[in-house]
Formats: sequence, C-alpha cells, structure tokens
Amino acid sequence: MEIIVPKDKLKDIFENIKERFTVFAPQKDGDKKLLSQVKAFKEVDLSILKTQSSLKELLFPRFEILFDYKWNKKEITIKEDNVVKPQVVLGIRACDIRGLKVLDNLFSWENIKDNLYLERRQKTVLITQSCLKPDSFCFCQSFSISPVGGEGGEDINFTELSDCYLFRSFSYAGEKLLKELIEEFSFSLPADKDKKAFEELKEKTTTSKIANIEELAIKIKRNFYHNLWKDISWSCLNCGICTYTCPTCHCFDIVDESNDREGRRIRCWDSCMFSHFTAMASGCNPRETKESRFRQRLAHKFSYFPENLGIVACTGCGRCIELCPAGINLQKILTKLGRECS
Amino acid sequence: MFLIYTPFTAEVIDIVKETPDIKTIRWKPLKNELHFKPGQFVEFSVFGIGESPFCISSSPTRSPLFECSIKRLGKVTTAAHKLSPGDIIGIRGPYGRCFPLEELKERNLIFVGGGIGMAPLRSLLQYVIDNRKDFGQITVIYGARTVADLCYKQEFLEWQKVPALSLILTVDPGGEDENWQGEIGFVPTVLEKVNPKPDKAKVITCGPTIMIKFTLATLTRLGFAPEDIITTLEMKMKCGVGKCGRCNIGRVYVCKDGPVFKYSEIKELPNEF
Amino acid sequence: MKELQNIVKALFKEDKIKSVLGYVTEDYFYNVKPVKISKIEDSEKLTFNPFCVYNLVTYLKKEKDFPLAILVKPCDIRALRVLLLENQLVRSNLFIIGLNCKGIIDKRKITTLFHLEISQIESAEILDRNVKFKFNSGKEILEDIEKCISEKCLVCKDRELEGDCDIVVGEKPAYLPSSEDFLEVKELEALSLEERAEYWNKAFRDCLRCYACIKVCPLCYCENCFVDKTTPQWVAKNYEIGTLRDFHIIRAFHLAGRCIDCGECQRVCPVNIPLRRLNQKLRKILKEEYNYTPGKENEIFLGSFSPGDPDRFL
Repeated sequence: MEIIVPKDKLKDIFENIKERFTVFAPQKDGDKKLLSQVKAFKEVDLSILKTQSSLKELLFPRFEILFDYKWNKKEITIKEDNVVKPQVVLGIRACDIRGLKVLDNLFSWENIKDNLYLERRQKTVLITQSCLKPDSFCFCQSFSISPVGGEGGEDINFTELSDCYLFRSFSYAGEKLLKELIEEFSFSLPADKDKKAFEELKEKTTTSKIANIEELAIKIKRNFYHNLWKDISWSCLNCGICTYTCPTCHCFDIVDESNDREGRRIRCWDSCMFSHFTAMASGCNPRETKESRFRQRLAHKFSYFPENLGIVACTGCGRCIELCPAGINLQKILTKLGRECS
Repeated sequence: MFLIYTPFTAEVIDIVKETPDIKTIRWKPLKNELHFKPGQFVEFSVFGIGESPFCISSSPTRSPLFECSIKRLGKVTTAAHKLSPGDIIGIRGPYGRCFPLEELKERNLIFVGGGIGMAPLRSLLQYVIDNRKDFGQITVIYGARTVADLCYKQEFLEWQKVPALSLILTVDPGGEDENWQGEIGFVPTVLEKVNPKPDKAKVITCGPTIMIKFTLATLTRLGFAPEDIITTLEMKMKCGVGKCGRCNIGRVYVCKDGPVFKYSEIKELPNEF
Repeated sequence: MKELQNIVKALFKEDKIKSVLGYVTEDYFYNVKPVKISKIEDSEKLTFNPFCVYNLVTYLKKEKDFPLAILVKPCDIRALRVLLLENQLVRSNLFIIGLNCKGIIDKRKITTLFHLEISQIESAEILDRNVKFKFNSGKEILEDIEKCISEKCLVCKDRELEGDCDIVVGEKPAYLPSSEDFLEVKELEALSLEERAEYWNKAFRDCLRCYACIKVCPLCYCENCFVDKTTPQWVAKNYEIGTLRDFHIIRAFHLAGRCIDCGECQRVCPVNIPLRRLNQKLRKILKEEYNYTPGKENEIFLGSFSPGDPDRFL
C-alpha cells in the first residue's frame, strides 16, 4: 500500500501514533545523535543519517534483568517479570533493518528461541526513512541493501520527495497502520509523477560497494594464518566501540547481582574484542593476542555466521569506521582481504 | 514468557571431597525430570554468585541422583565448594552433544584421562559398565599430578572388578607417596607404554590442554585414526545455547555442537587452542 | 616531512632502531592512521599534519620490539615522562622524535562549523593565528585557529620538547593560545550542586562501557583493570546511572596525579562524554594544593613530600 503525505502533516501522523504506542526516533542531544524515546514531534530530528547507538539497543538492550530471585534458608523463589510494551521506531534506516534481520536469525536459531528479543521484536513497528544522501562511511550496497529501503522486512518506509512524503507499507502491521491513517487524515494515493520521482531518487542514491563480499567467506578460512592479519589489526586498541555500535554484534555476558537475601540475574553486552572475553578461570586463554581476536571478529561476521545462518553479519552502516578510535577502516580491510587473499 | 535462561531448582544431596581442590556435588532436581546422555553438561547456578557450565560426571543409568565434579578455580566454583547438603541450586540443561554411543558399541574402549578431565569420562565409563555386554574391552588410563589429586579413588576398586576392564593409574614423577603401587609418569608416556592396539578400538580422552596435545600425538603414532579419537573441548561458555557468542570457534559453538568432538572434526577448526 | 623521513631512514640504516611508531595517511590528508614501520623503505610513508591526533605512546603498552623510535607531540611526551617515572619503560630503548606542533584540528568542530562533510575539504594548513582551508569547490577560507583546534590545544601553552627528545623536527608554533587554565572546570564549579549532578547524569547516561577511554589512555596499563575483576567486583556489570558514574569516577581517581591531559579519552568516546573535565578537576586540585603538574615533574606525585606543602585540609 502506498500513500502520499503532505509535508506539514507529518507532525499529525506522529501525534496519532503517539496516542497508541511508545515512539522512538532519532534525536539530537547536544552533540550526541541518539535513538531514544520522543514525547513531542519537535524532538524528532529526521535529518540525522545514523544515530550513534543503533536500533539493536531497543530490542537487545545494553543490560536487562533475566529474572529476580529471593531466598531464605533453604527456599528459593524465582520471578520473571518481563513485560513488553508495543512500540514504534520511526526514522531508522535500511542498514538498521538488516541488522535486525541478522539478530532475528540468531535469536531463533535451531528453534532455541530467545523470547526476550523475539517478543520485543514482535511488538515493534518499524518505520524506516529512505537514505538519499549516504555518507562516505556507508557501504550497505555491498550487501544488496537498498539505501532507499523497503526491502529489508520493515513495516513501513517513507521517502522525502520534493513536496511531500511517499509512505509505503510492506507488512500486515504496516498496511493496517496506513489504512488507519488514511481513515483519520484522508491521505491520497501517489500520482504517477510521485512514483517517477521516487524511482529517480532510487537510481541516483548509491553508496560505496565492496566487490564480492560472499567470496570472503572462503578467503578468510583459507587464509587464516596469513601474516596480513597482524598488519591490519596492529593499531586496534581492543576497546568495544565497533562491537557496541554495530547493528549486528550480539555477544553478551550473564552475571548475578545480589545481597544476602535477594538478587537478580542480568545479561549485559560483552565484546569479543576485550582481552578477557575467552579467558578461563584456569588461566588458559585461546585468544590472547589482539590479532587473534580481530581475526575472529571478521571471520565470525563474514565467514562463520553466513555459513551457519545464511546471512552476512554486517550491514555496511560504517559506524565502526566513523567511530573507531584507532583509524581502522573496515571498507579498506575488506577490499584488502579480497585483493590479497586467494 | 518462557525464558531459556531461567534455571529450574535442584537440591544438593551429598558432597564428596575428591581432592584438596575438587568436590563432587550430588544433586537432584526438585520438580523437574532430567534426561541426559554421557558427555552433556548443565549450567549450574549458585544463587547470589553466578552460573557456570559443568559436565555431568555421573551416568544417566545412575539417576535420580546427578553428579558434577567441580574444581575450585574462580568465583562460582569457590562458592560451589561452600555448598552443603540441603542447599538449593539452579540447573539449566542438559546441553551439548553427547558421546557418540552408537559408534562406541562393540568397540574396545580406551579412556585416557588427566586430573579433572576424568569427570566427563566417568559419565561414559559408568554407562559402559552398566551396559557391559554392549561394549568390548575397556582400558582406563588415568593420571594426576599427585596421589592426592586423583579423583574417584573410592570407585577404583569397583572398576577393577568389572570384567575385561584394565585400570592403569599414574601420577606425575614426584607425585607418588610411599604406598603408591601404580605407574609413575605423565599420561601420554604411560599411554605409549600400555601400547593399545587401534583395531576395532576407540579412544576417549579429556584432560589439561597440554596433556591432550601430547596424547593426540602419541595416539596418531600408535596408528589411531582421527575419527576414532574422541575428546571434550574446554572453552569458556556462558549461555550454553549458542547465543552469547563466547564459545564460538570456527563454524562451531562448543556449547551446542560440542563439547564432545572427534579429533577429525577438531582438525578442521582453526588452531586457536 | 622529508626531514622526518630522512631521520628515520638514517636510524634504520645505522641499526639504531628495529621499528618506528608514527603516522601515515592512506588516501586523504585527514585520514591519518597510527602505524608501526619495521622496514626502511616504508619510512617514506611517514607524515605529520594537523590531523595527527593519536597519542602513539599508548602503543608502547605490551610493545617488545625495542629499540624503537616514536614520534611525539608536546602532549604525548608528557605521557612518556610519567611512564619513565613509573619505571614502565627503559629510556635507552627509545629514540624520541619530537614533533613541533601548531595544534590539532578537531574534525567534529570543523564539520559543524562549515556544515559539510570532511571529504569536501581539499587541504588545511595552520598559519599563525589562522587555519587556511581549501575546499573541493575551489573556495578558500581563513578561519580563526581557536575555532578549529581541539579543546585540549586551547590550553596547551608549554610546547617545549628540547629537553626530553633525542631530536626535534618541524617549525615551532608562532601562536600559543591564551585561554585560562582549567576554564571548563571553573565553568562547572560555578554551577549549583543540582545543576552539576544533572550535567553529569546526562553525560554518563549514554556510556556504552566500551572502555575505549581505558584502552586509549597511555597511562592505563594495568594488565587486569578494575573493571574486569570479579573477585572482588569493584563495579557492577549493569548500566544503571550509579554504576556508570562509579566507573568513571574510580577511573579518574586511578589517574589522579598521573593524567597528563592528552585528551584522548574524550576524543575516542563514541557518545561524547566530556571526560577531560573529570581529570581536569583533579589536576586543578593538584596544581592549587601541591603545585604539581603531572608530566612536568621529576617525581611521582604521592612519592614526594615537601615540608612546604600547603596541606590546608589538615
């Protein structure tokens, strides 16, 4: 379903949605670009291309309580209290949606379902915005992602045309929402000129493209002991920035927090880049070197994950490139791997 | 909402002190039924402290009690050592791939264990003993640093009484005491001395990484094919179900595709051990 | 540039170093990367421009390829001095090449100032009090240096390298800033307690606990950082505001008397936490109560005692 929304009506749509859902949208907070809950339309900033924190935070939060427990002497009561409220995320991009697809696959892999993620995912309506001006860090087209959006499994996508917005729905939930908006506001269907304008924008919008990403799966495996891994990982500081801002990285830790009588088990983000990630209590650490951890991350994203789950665990959003404190550029690394490995 | 991360409760029935730093905890689920196969592990929670994976070191043929042998190394294991009978613990599982029981039937089995590595092997050994006629000759080579570090001492007599089972115990040079009657030498050395024949035999081995390394080399020298050597890998695990990413090596996750692996499968993985 | 490359080539030829830690640009002058060069022919790649923000001293952690040469700016050399004082490095293992520095251009500042992506800039050169920008469009602008350089450069008045380096290259800066010391801290001290609490809660709230601030800091070299310890657990693993605040405050205290204000922690933070202000507050106290400036002294802070210490708090 497709509708045309006049530019000045976007605010009304927002107000309408806010009545029924919690709304998350890109927001500027000083010099931070965040994806957070918005209460008023003026807080929404649709000019932000990418938020520093990605959509994964809303569905797979930095930390969450798995369950609480109380014990007295010899009795334990365990309580799970995970209530999920319906929410709408507005203004995210095609790369964010691809990230969710990767997480969807992982959290329901082999039918072992992580319900914390999946229930939140079910209750989230995703409204993406077309990227018309990707930046130099973006390379989503390497993964057959269309920056203009609409092909990633979102519910609704909207594109800014010269004098209006084109809204398109792609799912039952999306269509239902659009129908409700038509009833409320009497929006019209797109005219031919609108469709033409959209197609032209879609043609024009391009990002960097790394050739032959799928070949990397074999190349990385065959060149596991190549000496170029040491070179490319040298300046890495082993912080967690790339993993935490990545829309697909999902490693986590599970810890208990308690006093004498009650406690809770939480899960929180963890990063394979940290030196203690694979360290065992016996003192043995299979990935002691920076080089081995760096190689593991890339091998997991571009080789093991696609082999196991059929999708490359990278969306080409470029956050890791923009935010890496050590000047490591994933686009350059992937090109180098493609070129120097057979 | 059903959560895969929530444990069910179990009660500690008994605790056996095996060595100065290893205790075997016997426990029983309070409300649930637990069916597992040798080689699998559970995520063991000490409420208030944390959760850690431990293999079940007893055989399913000996339920309703289950056993975990725990070496005191870090936060959770130290807390586990402070448990007493009647305490409530949390259990998630069983997880992991078990020993390939069908492939082991009618074969001669050679168990090679070192230290705490005997724990998963014992689960299989008890199962084999309880189903004795299904398996061929059994050789058990088990070593530890010193006599005091040998686990399951109270069972050695039982094992020696099993028909066609030969038990060879060893301690590292310098680890013997004046009453020691067994072998003296590192496990791979004793293995070489025992010189088991590879025909119709399967080896199951587990122990410290360095021991496994030399054992695998010795076995290869003795003519054992990689498909006939089975081991359990030790890797840091957290969720136990292949989600948290910690135990990923190559294409596999040690928690769900292992911890039991054949040497032929390990050879295909990156050499990160 | 040539001077620098020739010095390094000579060091390799004379077998005085096994490697050199320096800067290279891969494509554009603003895309600088830290690098370790071990082959003499790669010395041609070394460069130095106003975008060389990285403090290379942090790469000396776990470094074993000594003797090596290292390129340092005036802020970086202070970190080296503290590491030498703390016996983490052997001076004879290092050949220190000082780089006279006119200031480091802050990418975020100029992209906000000019409202465009950095790829639109063809070149940037610091001339006295100004920065000359040439854009791809052909336009040229002269902008006030204080609007373009990093916050930490605005208070960097002592850019003396002579005494500490084996050799110094580059032109001395003609212009030095005249900002007041600890200006940002004084601005915060002027706020009420509630306002300050709000400021910091808002700043810490988005912390990802990526630990980039720890990993980039040249003086955070503990093998087992307090954040990783579980027995005992110094800081919880959750992301509640109290925990995040604890983490940052404890880290600031672990650097008390040692932080040399290279500003890297603030530069690397992916959610723009104003970390420099935390450490600056401690530096301010050190200066006022003990007249001690880390990185410029010959003794470790708490290892020294003078009967003349003010000790107003006793």
